[in-house]
Amino acid sequence: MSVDSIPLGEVRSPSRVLALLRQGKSAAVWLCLVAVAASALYPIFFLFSTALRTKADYEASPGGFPQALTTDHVSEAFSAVHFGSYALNSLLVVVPAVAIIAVLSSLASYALIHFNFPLRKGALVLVVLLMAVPPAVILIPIFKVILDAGLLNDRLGLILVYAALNLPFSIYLLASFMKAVPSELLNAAKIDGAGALRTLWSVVLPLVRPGLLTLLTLNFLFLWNEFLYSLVLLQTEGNRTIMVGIAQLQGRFAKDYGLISAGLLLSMIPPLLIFVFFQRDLARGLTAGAVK
Amino acid sequence: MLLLLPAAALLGWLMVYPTGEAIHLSFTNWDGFSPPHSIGLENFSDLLHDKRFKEALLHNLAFVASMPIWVGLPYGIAWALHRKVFGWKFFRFAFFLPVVLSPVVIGVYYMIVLRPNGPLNSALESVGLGFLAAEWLNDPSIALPTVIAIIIWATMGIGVLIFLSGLSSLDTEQIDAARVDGASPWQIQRHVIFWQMLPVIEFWAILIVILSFTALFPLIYTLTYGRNDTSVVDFFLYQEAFTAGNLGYASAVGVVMLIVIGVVGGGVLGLLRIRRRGA
Repeated sequence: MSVDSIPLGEVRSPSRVLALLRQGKSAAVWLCLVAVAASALYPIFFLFSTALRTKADYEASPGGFPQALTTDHVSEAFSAVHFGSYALNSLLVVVPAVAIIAVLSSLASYALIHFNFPLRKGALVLVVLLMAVPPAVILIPIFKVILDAGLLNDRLGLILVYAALNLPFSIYLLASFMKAVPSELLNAAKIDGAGALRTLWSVVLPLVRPGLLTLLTLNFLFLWNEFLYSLVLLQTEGNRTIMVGIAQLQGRFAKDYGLISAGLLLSMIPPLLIFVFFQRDLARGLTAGAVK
Repeated sequence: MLLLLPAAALLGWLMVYPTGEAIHLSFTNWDGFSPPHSIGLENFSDLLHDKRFKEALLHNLAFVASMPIWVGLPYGIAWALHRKVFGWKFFRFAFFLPVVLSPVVIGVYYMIVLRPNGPLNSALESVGLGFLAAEWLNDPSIALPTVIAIIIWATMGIGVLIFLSGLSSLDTEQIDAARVDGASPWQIQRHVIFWQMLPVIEFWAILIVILSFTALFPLIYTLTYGRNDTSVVDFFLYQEAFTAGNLGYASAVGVVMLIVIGVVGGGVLGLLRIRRRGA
């Protein structure tokens, strides 16, 4: 039996006043939920309408329904501000970084869960400890390492940093899925003559596909949305990523809300696709570790 | 183990070494150009007397102090969704949207919505609540609470998810037993469900402490740029390092930040545990 069928709110005395009060209370709760949900969805409406309406129309009723439409802001976003190339710059960093994370965390979590070697426990503890290091704390030493390696303002530098920062969490996440793979299967593969890499590729990875999907969507989302490291490690106009481009718009186009909204919407396309199509995978990753 | 080598090399180079180097640099006067020179504890003693740093740290603590709302709101929502209120599937979908948005997007969006003659104030005026209109981000007395409200709004969806997954694994036998014994809904909530949910609440509380110290930079950068009494330590760290060029000093800020997170996180867990013993 699920908890939902337990009438926790049941009124014991058959008083009408109490029953009315209870109905009023649940209506109030429901209205609160509607209000919060409206605030959560409003950005979509607001940004779409602001991006597609004229400036004068916006100023007449900033939050309301558009009356006079225009596509000027959207075309400006590509001509005057180069949002297209910012988005491309982001992809050129995020996609390789996510690929590196997927390969390295598959290898590492497979080794950590299914092989025995000296210091295995120590390596697991280290992964958990590194998960607890806040990125801001190591910003300056990482800046120095990248500077000394000649990789400042080079996409490769940010790609490697992104991969390293998200690797501990990704190994941890994938390891929790690897644990569920029975070792009998691995032994069977070994008896059939498959090597470690072959076993990982054809036996283990197909079995942890939901975990891999979670890992890919979560890392893509984190890195696409990341700001601090991107701001510090890629400082030239030519390789600026989309989040930095947006944050710096305000200075140059401070009152051009139509243009800013068009840019925001463009930057929201990948997150929105993930929101619509991969919500379940994302949710699985975000609650990993909360409930044992 | 050969399979571990690539991950170990990358983590060693860009995680383990930088963590040690963060501590090393915090004892230097590195400016980004000349080689760092050790200056002992000078950065730390300067920090103790740096008014801007202390203010920023207090602001972070204000975020931590908002924890009751930060926990209560998603818990309440999760409870309602768990009881399958009308439209719960739609609500679960809607509350998740802010979770996928970049803090930069959220910051710029609210920067527009909260402008003095922006959508929120004009909406308040058009429904006759004009007296509630305010300079949300420009008035130093309400700018910080406004930013706190924004981050609670932005992270609420994660909290709802975490609490929902906790509620779905409640031990229903205990709840049934309490009900048979005549416990009121509030007593059941307080004495049965709360204890079962405590590990999940602790997890969320620790996440809030970490968010309160390390996730604010993009919001502050886009909403106020640290003006109007809203500076926080990660913003202060960035400014010291990359606009003032005091990278050694900023490293010390990072080290202190790590210590404070540990102390505050431990304190919060301690408080929750005391409640456990008291009951």
